[in-house]
Amino acid sequence: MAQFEKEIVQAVLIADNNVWNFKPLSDDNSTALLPLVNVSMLDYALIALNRSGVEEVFVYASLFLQNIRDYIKQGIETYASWSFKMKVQVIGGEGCRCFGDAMRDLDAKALIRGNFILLGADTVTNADLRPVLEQHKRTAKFDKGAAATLVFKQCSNNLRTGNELLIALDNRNDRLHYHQRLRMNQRETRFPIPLDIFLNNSSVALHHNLLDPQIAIGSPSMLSLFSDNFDFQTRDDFIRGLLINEELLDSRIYVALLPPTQYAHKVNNWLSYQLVSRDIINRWAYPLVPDMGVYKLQQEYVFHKDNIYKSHDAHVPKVALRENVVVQTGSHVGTGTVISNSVLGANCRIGKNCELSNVFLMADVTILDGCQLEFCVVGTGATINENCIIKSGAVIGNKCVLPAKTQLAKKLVSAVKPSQEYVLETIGPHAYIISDSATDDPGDSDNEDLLPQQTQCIPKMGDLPSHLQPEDSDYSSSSEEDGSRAPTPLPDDTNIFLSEVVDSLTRGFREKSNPDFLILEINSSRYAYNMSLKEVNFNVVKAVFGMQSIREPANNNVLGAINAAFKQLGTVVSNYIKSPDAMLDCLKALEDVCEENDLVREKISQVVHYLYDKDFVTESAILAWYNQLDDEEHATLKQSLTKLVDWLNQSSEDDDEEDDESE
Amino acid sequence: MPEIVEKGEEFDVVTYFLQLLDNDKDMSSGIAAIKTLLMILEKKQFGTIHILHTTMREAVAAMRNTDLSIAAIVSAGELFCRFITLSLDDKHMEECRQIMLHRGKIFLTKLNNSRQVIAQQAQRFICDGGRILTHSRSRVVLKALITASKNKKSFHVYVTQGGTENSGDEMIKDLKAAGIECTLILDSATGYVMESVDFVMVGAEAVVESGGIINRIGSYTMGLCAREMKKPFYVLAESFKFSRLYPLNQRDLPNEYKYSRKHLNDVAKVHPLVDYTPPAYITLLFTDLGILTPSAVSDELIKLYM
Amino acid sequence: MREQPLKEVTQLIHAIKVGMVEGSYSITNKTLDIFKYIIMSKSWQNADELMRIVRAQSRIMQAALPQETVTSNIARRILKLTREEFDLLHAKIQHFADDSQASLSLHKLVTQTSESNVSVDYSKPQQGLREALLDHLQEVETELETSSENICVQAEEHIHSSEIILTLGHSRSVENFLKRAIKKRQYLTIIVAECAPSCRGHNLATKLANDKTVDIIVIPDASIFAMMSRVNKVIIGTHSVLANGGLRAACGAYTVALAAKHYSVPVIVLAPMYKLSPLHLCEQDAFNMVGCAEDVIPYDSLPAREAKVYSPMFDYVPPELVTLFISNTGGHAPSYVYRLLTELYHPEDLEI
Repeated sequence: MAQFEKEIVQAVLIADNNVWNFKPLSDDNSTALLPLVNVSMLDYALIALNRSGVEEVFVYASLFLQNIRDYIKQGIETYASWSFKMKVQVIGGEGCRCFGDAMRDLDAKALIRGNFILLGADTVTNADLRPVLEQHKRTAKFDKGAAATLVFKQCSNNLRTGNELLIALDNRNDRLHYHQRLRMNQRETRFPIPLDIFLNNSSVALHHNLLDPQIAIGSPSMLSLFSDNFDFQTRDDFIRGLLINEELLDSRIYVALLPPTQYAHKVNNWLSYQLVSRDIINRWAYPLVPDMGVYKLQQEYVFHKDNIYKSHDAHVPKVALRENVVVQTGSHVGTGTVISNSVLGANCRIGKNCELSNVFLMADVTILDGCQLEFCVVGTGATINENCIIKSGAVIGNKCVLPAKTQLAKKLVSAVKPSQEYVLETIGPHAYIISDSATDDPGDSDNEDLLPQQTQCIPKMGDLPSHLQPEDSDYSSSSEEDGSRAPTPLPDDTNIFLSEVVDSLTRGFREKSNPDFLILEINSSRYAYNMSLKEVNFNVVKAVFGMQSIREPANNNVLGAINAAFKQLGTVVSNYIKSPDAMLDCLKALEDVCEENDLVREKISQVVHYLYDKDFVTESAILAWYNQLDDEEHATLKQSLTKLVDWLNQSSEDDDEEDDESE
Repeated sequence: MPEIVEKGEEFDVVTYFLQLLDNDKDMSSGIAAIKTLLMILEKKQFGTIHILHTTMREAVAAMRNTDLSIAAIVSAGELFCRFITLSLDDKHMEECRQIMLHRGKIFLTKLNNSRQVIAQQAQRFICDGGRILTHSRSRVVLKALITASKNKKSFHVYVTQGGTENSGDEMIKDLKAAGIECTLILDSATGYVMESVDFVMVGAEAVVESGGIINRIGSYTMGLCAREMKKPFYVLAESFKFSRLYPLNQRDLPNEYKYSRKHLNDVAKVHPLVDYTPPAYITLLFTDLGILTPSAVSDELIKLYM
Repeated sequence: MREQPLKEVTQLIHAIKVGMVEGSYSITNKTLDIFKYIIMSKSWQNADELMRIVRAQSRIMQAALPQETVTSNIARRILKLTREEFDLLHAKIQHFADDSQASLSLHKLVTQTSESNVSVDYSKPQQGLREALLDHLQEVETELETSSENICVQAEEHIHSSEIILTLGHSRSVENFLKRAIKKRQYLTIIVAECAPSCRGHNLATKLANDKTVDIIVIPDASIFAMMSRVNKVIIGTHSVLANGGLRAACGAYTVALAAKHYSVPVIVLAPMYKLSPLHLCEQDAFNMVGCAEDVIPYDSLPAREAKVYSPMFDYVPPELVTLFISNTGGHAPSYVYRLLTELYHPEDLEI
């Protein structure tokens, strides 16, 4: 009776991503329950699903399964927003180590019927996924082999958090052809994209400004694909596998781009944690903002100006909070402390005269007087004694006790002593600095598909680069960039026109063809590109000088080359250069050529003289042109021409005198 | 209640009244007046209601002759005299007296509590990190600020000197004792300070029928400044201060209100003690009857005196 | 949370948060349904218990949605109804003079009879209370349904032919009001300010433009001041009316009111009675809701990294700028709002 069963929307939430990246806090509890702006990440994902009308959710977890189960139960009891009209089931087992195992397990249990939404528990989004689901259903109807629709967000962040990728997309049907995750530590200089993609498809677009929030719509065949291919471990494996073995597996992947008004981001390491916290506080993820109380029944914070969210019974002197701060109930802040861009959990106690900037405190943290904390995370129940300085991405684990006057930067501190090989240093009875580099060696770092957790060390928080620098930093040009840029960049059509004219002239010169034919060719190009007369004049002259023979003349004898060229092409040029305006254009073209061609520049006065002699340009034109040359810009040019101009002036006086005399 | 010095018929109204005020600095003169009248009711024997009335009026007149601000005394006295004659059936005199005494005691209890009620209402408006401007010394405002400070709010108070008697100094002393940050400023510095404060909170000696207030000299200027700088002007006043006056301008205020008794003969040479702030400059009045707009005050008074 | 919310209450809160129920009218209706359900249920024996339940549920709704004051307004109405019905029935039985003055006043303060207790004892079980309440509730429901109609019939009095009217955003009351005016008057011009970023003014313009006899002009918010000199009247709706006669209206209403004040153009506010709320403007409360930053500048842009972005939803308009309130009971001046409040709600219920 399938048609009588109302089709309900199902979703699968994968918890336990990026366990390594969130050390040491991930040792004690699931990463899905990590609080992001005082709301656990699982809540954000569940609310996103709830708002998209999902009715059944399977949360898949392998570590800390019971914690997640308890959390869900507690949420339902306290009327969390996502518990309405949505059933949440936690499944999982110790045996599954990766995304692939989870998919295989789900396939085995046969819980999924029909298309489902796949989300990571650490995704924060305010998007409505219903339209994407509809789109997937339409695609699936059209193409039976559609395995999944991946959802990406357009966002040209200059920062690499491990979520950015480059994809090649077919414009007509949004099919994915190439997928590469961008590296975190170093920008790639080249992307190997197989040529077949471009040969076999007529319109392929390359998108390099996409973020991957780990949202996807899967069809039932996706699960069976995982079961069939045991080497699919991660999502990226799946995508790569499908792209390579397309015909074999008869499955295709499609892509949907989120509209720009919808926000989506994945929190896969501390750096993206910092970014997403900042975005949530700045209300980009509305309505998933702290003061809307989306996940609980009552509103917890009151919004004050400068993005300060204060809970009703938090005792914070108003002057302590600078901007972008969230303070939860029960927190006390001493006098003289300054807090900015931070999140304080419940019942935190901050002493006097502290400086907190970009700090994320979990619940029950005690910080005594005089500490300076910057870009760090402090776990639940930790105590930081007086005058500590903690900076640059340090992470203090749960229940650590840091002795007074500790100075830390970029370290991970855990309260529990792990096995000896991980401990770098012991700073106190409950504080051990642990190593943060990966256990398995990075291997071939050229393999661009590696996820960031397998790179050198855990990415940490830090000062985000200011985006107000002029964009030349993006053009940090690799030295291989050859070809000089034109000093006066011409618009496209003109460039094409110029190159066509150069081609025609070069050919005409080489084949010694009839100048009339050349004129015809040039005219037709002119009409093709809709060039104005001025531009044509300008470009024709430029083209003549742009010819190979003049550019690189034999024996560096540029004058000889020009002579030869003009002998042949003179008619062509004079056809266009008739009026004084045209002559001015011609000379202006010479200006440009001067800058490009060094040889011409040296002999510019002779060139101009030559043109004058052959009656291409008149004296008045030359003088007019000379006079309107800018003194500063074309100083050298003017200098070279001074002699010629003087001589011209003189000869004109002579002529005048002669005329006067003759009369 | 202090022991009555003279027992029997000769009961000196004024002495009792002044004694009450001496013993309890925190008591408002209006409340003291009502207590005195109640004491008269208890002590003296009356044959008819008419005699009672006359005795009451004489007592009020006597209290007016003291050198204290008469606004509160007058309004409280009026109120008391008013209600003792309301809806009394023609019962026996003695019964009437018992009823009136009982009523009087309830009335007094309610009024004693009024400052607490007002302070409670004002809590929502005093916020953490706020800056408040107040004029001279007002016990109601003091109570409101102290309650707020007990609720762990930190704010700063600017107090004006309030004329020649330096009542501002006393206010500062009381605020400091309660641990509230405060600054004493000159009356003339009101305009300067107004842009930095969040709102103005003053007490009142009387609330007139138009909804305006009579308060220590300098309040009118403060109201004008607050209006200009678009800052809220809040008045905290107990309900017994509602009076039946309707002044149209400053000169319209009766002289007894403005000058102390000894100067009444030669008003041209002295400063008035109080001024009138029209209702247009007042944002809200906090009373024990609730938070009222100035237009609601006249309504209240009409309902009472109809 | 000491009190346990009812299932219906949590469902309503969820529906409002997700956006399935929106607009003051629907929220009021649904809240009224919930209270009706509470009254009809068997969980209370006397007036006191009923009032406690109503208060508790209303507090929960208030904590969840601090800006939606219509829920607590309806709760206060119900409480006042309960008190009145109880007093009425009590008085009938015990033959007391009906003390119709429920409001706290100097008079009441002064004339407290010593025999009766200051506060009425509501915990006495009362026969017939439930039926009386349900009857009265029916009246409240009818009033709610007809509130829109009652406001519209006053359209003729206030709008005359050949007038130019300015409005802001999209308010259902204003839409019906103007539609009625269009039917009865000729040569009207209606200028609609679009009210960015939601641009709901466009919806209003399309709905009104069906009628060919009226000119509709849509203007951006920045042109409000420029157009104001030509406008005869400003008619706006509001989200709620505060106790001092001020408004919590859509963002942009303050601009309109100030511009109107400058050119001495009357500002008429259409506000049905269920929008009257006894709150005052305090900085501590969550007065304003701030919306998504995406409405102002796109996330994917350079300024988004460095700038702080606000998109507030409401504006406070002080009572001095409003000329007239039109509600289903007629027209009132802003200074009269306190009186309407005393008639609608009992003073002890002002703080739920």
